[in-house]
Amino acid sequence: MAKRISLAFCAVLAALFAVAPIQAEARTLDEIISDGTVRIGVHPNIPPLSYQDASGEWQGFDVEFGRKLAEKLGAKPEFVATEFNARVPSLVSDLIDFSMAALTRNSERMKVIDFTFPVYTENLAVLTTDKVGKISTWKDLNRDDLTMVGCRGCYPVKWMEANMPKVKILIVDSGSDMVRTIAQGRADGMVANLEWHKRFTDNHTDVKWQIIDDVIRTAYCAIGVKKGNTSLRDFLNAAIYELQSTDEHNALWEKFWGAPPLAKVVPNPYW
Amino acid sequence: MDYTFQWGVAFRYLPDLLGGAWVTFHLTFIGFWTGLIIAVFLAVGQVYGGRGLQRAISAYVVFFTNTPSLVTAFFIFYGLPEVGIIWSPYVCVLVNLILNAAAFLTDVIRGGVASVRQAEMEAAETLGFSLLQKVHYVIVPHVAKVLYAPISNLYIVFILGSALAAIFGVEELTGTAFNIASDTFRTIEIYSLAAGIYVAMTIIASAILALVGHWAFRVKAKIF
Repeated sequence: MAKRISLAFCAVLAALFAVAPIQAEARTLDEIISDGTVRIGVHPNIPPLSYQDASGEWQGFDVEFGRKLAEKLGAKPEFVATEFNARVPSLVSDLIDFSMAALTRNSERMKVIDFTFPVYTENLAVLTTDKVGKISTWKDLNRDDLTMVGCRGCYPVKWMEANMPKVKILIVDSGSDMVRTIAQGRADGMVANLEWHKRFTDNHTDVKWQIIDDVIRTAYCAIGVKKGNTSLRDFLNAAIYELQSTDEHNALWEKFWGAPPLAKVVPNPYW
Repeated sequence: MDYTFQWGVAFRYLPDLLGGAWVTFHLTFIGFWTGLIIAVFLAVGQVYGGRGLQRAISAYVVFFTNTPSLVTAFFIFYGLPEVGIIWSPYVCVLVNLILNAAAFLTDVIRGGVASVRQAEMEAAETLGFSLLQKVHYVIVPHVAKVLYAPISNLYIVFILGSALAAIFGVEELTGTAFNIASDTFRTIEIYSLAAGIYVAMTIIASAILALVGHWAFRVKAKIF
């Protein structure tokens, strides 16, 4: 049995080597319009960005924004759950037409997929507790006696590794887990997107939280499409511009976050 | 719009993945074989112990063999700090692995222990053997040959199951692959490489177990 499994695995790997590049074609804009359904990848569990409520309905900013894009396409949206590491394979294997699952844009990732213009920003700030003493900047936390926590698959971990070389880094599974590890004393703080994660501090009211919410760095989340799918990417750029320039975008943000974005995206008409 | 595999990019991260594989190896090695030692005594207790001890061991075995390992790991990692017990991520995952391995192995070994002839146990009793001596000289030689193959298979299962450690901050093979895939987006290439390393690890483990089994217990174990 084990031999068969090993042989099967080797065969799959050999096939991958042999058939590269993959021949699955991403659907063009015309094909999506003709089909009448657009498949949108969203993360299943980062409220209020995207999540499924108790009745299984998709909710969140990405979901609403996706619905507006689908409306402009004249297609019915079909949301597909894509965890962080399922985003690119889902695009590559044509399981989804575009991905909205909190994709932070950077040059390394642009080698693999294409991005639209930014949809929203991610703003790094500091969350810690009074146990580390009074601090005024993230640099005060760069100490070898401290452990900073990050989320697996999230880009702030990379930022901490590069900019806070003295700290130990603990990587857990989600935003709520990050906050819990700090509350329980397993970690001392985090440099992360507090717009997303700060609300979890409400679960730990006995902790004396210390927040330095000056924005350390702004990164940009965009929609990901399969490399070379220019017809869909150009359409999405135009649609994003229309939603951002009419302020529908910021209204939607305030609906889900209860406050304006820390750093707004400037609408770009030059697509 | 084709996707071109970039295996060169993936192989650049091979040293990182092998570092993760090393963590997977020592985590499962320490956890599983510690669990085995505990399981031998629990199995003996379940067969020869008093009613109270038998019930306590059965309750432990039933609980851990019927609860997802992920759930017990959550309890140890996030639950225990609520009562002031904070262990490092590695220790949390290791303790969880030991508890689960001991429970599953107790179930496996119990049958073997029960099959030891009563006459042999009575002979050991007559000779004044302690419990430890009975385990060492009577029970283990009797059950090792029969149970070697299922225990070896369970070890492979635990190597693969150790991937859940990534959720609790342990940078083993799966966690390392996840990190690299997130940085590079070369998800398919990186996970294929990680899968290949898992296959290599389990084949090596099977080969070593087969050799040890043959040398120590004259077991005719096959690698495949």
